[in-house]
Amino acid sequence: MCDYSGIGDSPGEYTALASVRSVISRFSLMALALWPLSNALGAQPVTPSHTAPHSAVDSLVLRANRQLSLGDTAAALALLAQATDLAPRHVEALYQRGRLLVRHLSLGLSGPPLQVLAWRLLNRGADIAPTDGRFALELGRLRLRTPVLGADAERFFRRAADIARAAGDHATRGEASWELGQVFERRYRTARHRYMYTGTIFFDQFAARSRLHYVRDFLEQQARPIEGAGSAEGVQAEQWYRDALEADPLHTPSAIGLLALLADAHRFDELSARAASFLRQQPTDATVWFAAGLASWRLGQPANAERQFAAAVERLGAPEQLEVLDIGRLLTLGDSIRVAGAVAPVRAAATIRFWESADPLLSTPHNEAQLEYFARMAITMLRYDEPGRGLRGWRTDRGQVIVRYGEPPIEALLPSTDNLAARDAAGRILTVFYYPASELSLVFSGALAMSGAVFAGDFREVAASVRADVPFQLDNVALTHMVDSIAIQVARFRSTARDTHTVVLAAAVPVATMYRDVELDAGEIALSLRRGAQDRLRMVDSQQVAVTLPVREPVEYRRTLAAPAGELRLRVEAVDPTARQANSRAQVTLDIPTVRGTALALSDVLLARRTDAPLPVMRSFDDARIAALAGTRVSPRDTFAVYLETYDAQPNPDGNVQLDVELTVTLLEIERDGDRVSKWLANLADLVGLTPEGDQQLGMRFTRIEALSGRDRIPLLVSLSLGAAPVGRYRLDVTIHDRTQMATARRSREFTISRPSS
Amino acid sequence: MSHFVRRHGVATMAVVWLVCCALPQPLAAQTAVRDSRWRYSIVGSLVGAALAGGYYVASDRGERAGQCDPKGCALPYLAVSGAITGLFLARDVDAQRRADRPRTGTLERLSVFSAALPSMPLSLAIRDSMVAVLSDSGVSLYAAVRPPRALQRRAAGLRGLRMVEFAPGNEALLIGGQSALYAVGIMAGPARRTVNGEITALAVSDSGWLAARGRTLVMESRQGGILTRDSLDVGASVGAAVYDAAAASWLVGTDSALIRVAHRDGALVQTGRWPSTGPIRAIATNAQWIATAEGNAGVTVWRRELMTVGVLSPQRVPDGPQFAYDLVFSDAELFVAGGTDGLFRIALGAAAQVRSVSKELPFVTLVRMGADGVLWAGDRARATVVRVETTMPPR
Repeated sequence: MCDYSGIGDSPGEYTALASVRSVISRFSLMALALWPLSNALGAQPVTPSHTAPHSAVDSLVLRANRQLSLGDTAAALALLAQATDLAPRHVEALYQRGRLLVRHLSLGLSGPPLQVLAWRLLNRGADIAPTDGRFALELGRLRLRTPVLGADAERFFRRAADIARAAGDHATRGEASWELGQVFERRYRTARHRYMYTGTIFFDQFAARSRLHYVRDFLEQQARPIEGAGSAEGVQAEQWYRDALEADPLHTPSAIGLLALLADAHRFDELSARAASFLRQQPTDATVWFAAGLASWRLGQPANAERQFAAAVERLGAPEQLEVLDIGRLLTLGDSIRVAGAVAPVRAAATIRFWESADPLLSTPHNEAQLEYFARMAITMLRYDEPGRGLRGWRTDRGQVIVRYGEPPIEALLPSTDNLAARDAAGRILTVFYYPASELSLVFSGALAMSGAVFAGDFREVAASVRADVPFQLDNVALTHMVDSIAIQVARFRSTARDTHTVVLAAAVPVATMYRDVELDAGEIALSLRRGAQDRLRMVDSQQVAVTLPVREPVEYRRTLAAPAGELRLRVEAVDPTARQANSRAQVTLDIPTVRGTALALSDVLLARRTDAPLPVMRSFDDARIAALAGTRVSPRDTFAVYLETYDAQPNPDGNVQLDVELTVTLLEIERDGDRVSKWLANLADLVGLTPEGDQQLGMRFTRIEALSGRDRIPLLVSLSLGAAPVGRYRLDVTIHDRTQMATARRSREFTISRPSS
Repeated sequence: MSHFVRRHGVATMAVVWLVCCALPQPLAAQTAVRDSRWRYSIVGSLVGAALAGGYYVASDRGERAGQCDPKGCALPYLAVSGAITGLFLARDVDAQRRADRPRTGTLERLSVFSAALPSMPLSLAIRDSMVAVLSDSGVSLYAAVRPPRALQRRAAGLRGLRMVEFAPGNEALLIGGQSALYAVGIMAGPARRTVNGEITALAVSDSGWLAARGRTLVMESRQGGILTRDSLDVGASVGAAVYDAAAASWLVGTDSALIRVAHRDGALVQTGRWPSTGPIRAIATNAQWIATAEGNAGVTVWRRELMTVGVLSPQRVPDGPQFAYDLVFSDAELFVAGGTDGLFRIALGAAAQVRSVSKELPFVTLVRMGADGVLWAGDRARATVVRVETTMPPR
């Protein structure tokens, strides 16, 4: 369309403009007036007049097809033009030229001459060969690419399907039915989730951004969903896709269309069966594999889903494969740039580590986070892929949001806004993605009756800011809500081997909470320990623990590991696959230092329980005869042991080490029961210093003089009892001063005193 | 007229053109809906004319000077645009009707009484006056009254549950899941593992139960106070099982066959095998027929008397649901849960024929028959258990 803004200010310009308008208007009027007539005439069957076989024309058509296969469309069109000039009634030449012209027309008013030419060629072909449905099919496609007349395409596609059905032309029938399916699917997608205004207020995208509960309140009070909106179109689209597959069982676009509709309606049993039967015949298309994986994952068949997603990724082209496997879209912008800029091995390691940390439980044989990610990718492909434009759903604005946060629990299509300031949304449909749990709402705008939509107004910035805080959310994966925490205590002690530490780990698996509300007589917990450095965590221990229910005491797990200097990651998991909430985990990352052996140093403080009398001269942790407390929880009035090791203490000339030891226990926070008011009053009392919070509960100071006796460390074992100390969170500080070298070292350990029931 | 055309040439031509474009469409469309289109078009044009009349009455001649004239301008414009609006409305109404119309048989209106479930139903069992519905949240028990009344929840907190049946004797429920087969008391008590392993099918008789653990069948029965348990490998993963009271044996369905197994001489043995078209999801039997729901492959029925003489070719039900989820016999009729296609009523005879389809349940995937002849269904779309009473005549 011409842009006339700014023209016509002077009388001369005005006259010129008027004459241009007049010419256009007359031409349009003539065309408009003649169009129905030509249409009506075109619908009349014309007796085909057979032309003699023209080998030169056939040869031109063949050459054109060859050029086309080489990618030279212009040459192919030139050859086909020669062919139709030589033989104006040659059916194949007319079809090929018309088809090629239609393929290269874009939606708009830029190419009316080409449209008219294609129209004439195809109409002529349809007149000559009325039993050839291909012409009606291409005429329908031409209609789709012609502004205003797009709605008329349906009629041509129906005609093409009818002709092809009568002629037994399965390929054309398949194509025509698929086009009809597409027509109805577009209508379905722009009609479903439609809301109507129930009040007098229009949706305001600016308010949606600035006011916290605006979207929730608006959808609850000012609009309501139109029941059954788009359902008729959805049913018709499905019928046409099924018709296409009946005509041509290997018609992949129809299969994808049908699978998309089934996925939309959450008909995953049907989706799974359909995809499986299609893949048995045609296992080449990645989108169909993705759809199959989506169905399996939603049906609770993770093993199948994993296999199908792997097959799907394998069938993508190399660039798309990299794109799908890239975790950048699930990270903050800064992190994604850092990962993208890293060398390949570092990027690969980061990817492995990302998925490992995202996986709710490593004990399950599948990575639920990654499967959910692929399922979301599948949803974006089925909903928003536009193969004609080479557009993948995951690259669209809505697709990116779905990949990060899942399908929106509430999706609303609203009529255009009346806010004149929202220029980009004027006259367009607004789509609202609303996630009630996180109060996240994002608004998109798209043209009427078109499937595309982009962020409305400054919602692109909103999405970017949300991404900076929460780049990837898995709250629609049930397992993520059902993982409990394991209380864990880890302490590092120098090993006898150089640059190696002994790591003592003790964990308390909270079986009481894991089996809370589970109506089962017995459970069997699979306990596992994994360790790793920068790379993947690997299993180092696994046990099966049988528990008789109900159970109150935690299951304790202890393990001692040797660890070289560097980073050490440890993960403990406890899972009972029969109970929904019987999942728990703990993960710690430790820095194992390099042993330098120059200055006074302390090991970690270990809280423990004595199992036996310690050896008179303790040389290591083993000689202390203690069991590490599983977790760092002690019961009120419990007596517990504190163990730590002093390294590189200097002996005096007598060969003895003189150490001043100071232990202090500070109450950090009182744990309170009761109602909110009493808690609030108690917190107020804390603030003004009326309670013991912040007080030192215990202070102990003594001097230890001990012969080194060839040892590289001085172990210290002390028993503590806090008497009637209130339940809460405490910190134990240990300070050791070496009198010989006049050096001091400190270590701390936080712990809690709590009642067993809590 | 010529003055009118001169003044409104472009607009008139546009309207004429739109009408010319629009008219052939309803003519070419299905004849069955043609009348309603014309009716809506006429109603639309009348509404337009009425609006024009209103404009004529309400407006003042002085104000109208140089503007749209009521008779020459407003009347034709509004009448024609009303007709076009009516036409498009009619198209929408017709499309909706076409979508609701069953492909075959009549549209049946059912009287339904539903009760909400905590999540979508996965399995349904009925015994006497009690209905058990399995969902992700465990088993919900209902009194089989109108409307269903919630009683209590059982087997809470268990993961990966798939199927539920009342154990013989009415005292316990059998629940099959991804990890085990559990038995749980109807009134109280924790669930107890009965068979370890993933359970893929479950059926009960008056004296025992049969569970499929993949390709292995495990059967437990109590006769004369003696409890026996036996197992059998049928060579393919079993996806459905039912006790066939007429033949006093079990029928199990795999991806490719219907298999009959019986307890003879103290052992579980295979006594018959018939190939199926697709993977069997559900099996139903009555005195004359055996029917299977085979998902995409639809519904297949076997006539008993032909099976006994070695005829292997079953009868396919034409124009059944696109995807058959579940099925049950009610006397001589077969009810099939067809998902979004609705609940199908199929008459069996010389040729199986769909009699009616009802669409009251938007996504029906489960169907069972109570001892009192009342039909029960599970609806995934609304997450409800539904008591179905076929009191309304088909239309």
